[in-house]
Amino acid sequence: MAISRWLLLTALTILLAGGTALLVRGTAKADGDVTLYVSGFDIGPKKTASLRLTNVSPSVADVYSIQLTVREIDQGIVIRRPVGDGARLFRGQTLELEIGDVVDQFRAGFELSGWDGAVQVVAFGTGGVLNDFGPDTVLVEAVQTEGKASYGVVVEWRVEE
Amino acid sequence: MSWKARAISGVGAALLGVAVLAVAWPGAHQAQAAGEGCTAFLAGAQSGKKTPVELVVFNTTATAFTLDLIIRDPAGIELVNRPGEIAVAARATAIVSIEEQLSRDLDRKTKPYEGIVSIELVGDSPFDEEQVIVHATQYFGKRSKPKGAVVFRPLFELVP
Repeated sequence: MAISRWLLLTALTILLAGGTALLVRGTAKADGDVTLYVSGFDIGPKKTASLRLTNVSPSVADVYSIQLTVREIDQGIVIRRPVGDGARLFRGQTLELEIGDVVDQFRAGFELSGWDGAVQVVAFGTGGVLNDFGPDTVLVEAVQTEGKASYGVVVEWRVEE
Repeated sequence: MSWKARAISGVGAALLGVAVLAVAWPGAHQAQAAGEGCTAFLAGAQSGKKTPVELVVFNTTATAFTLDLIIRDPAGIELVNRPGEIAVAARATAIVSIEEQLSRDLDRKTKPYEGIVSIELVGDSPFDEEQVIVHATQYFGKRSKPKGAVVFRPLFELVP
């Protein structure tokens, strides 16, 4: 009898501690900023780099403001910074971005010519009420076209610590 | 020993276990993250004049690093072994032409190797799966005007 009580108490304590640990880990994961990295894009004349983001969140309350940074590849110098509040993305909507056009428009504001060459793209989103911007809520398609070739480039989500 | 004393000692032991886990878990995780480095393996690409291959290494961190590059044929024979060949600045991307790597040390009359290659990249931290994006693009046709392309992803292995 005494041993079974002892076992019961021990089991309850372990369950309580385990539950608390899971809760803490879950909260920590939800709080991490998730960033989208796209590698393999190349922009310029006769080249198209298309990035499509679709909000597939189950909640209409999750409206994301999408911000985009584009860097050249040699030194990682920013050639397009986030602008204003970003582009709004409602549930079910698809944001279609031609990276070459986005970069050229930004550079035109500084009276700079268009960019020609490989680039790396980093995107992040804010504003989700029930679900954060991330791989569970945003569907990503990244397609490079040059010559007759059209192919998917590499998309990776990273939790920033 | 009474059941109360046993219960208290049991709870104490359980709490001690949880405390040890709580301290050890993040430590072990960080030790893996800040490990010695990694090897990335890419296989299946076919290098040739009409099938150029480009290796892409995207450093998402604020720390620069260098990588050793090894290229092998399907039999595992080393075609290229260049320690420290690829230098990647912070937040930068290195693009390496496999065709250029295979022909660099040959005289003009010697035809470079054409065929299936496997690529090995070896580097210290921060080179790992969590912080660096690695891929190879296989083009079909001329690199400047490709008719098609496919992207290969690597397998990462921690260096012990």
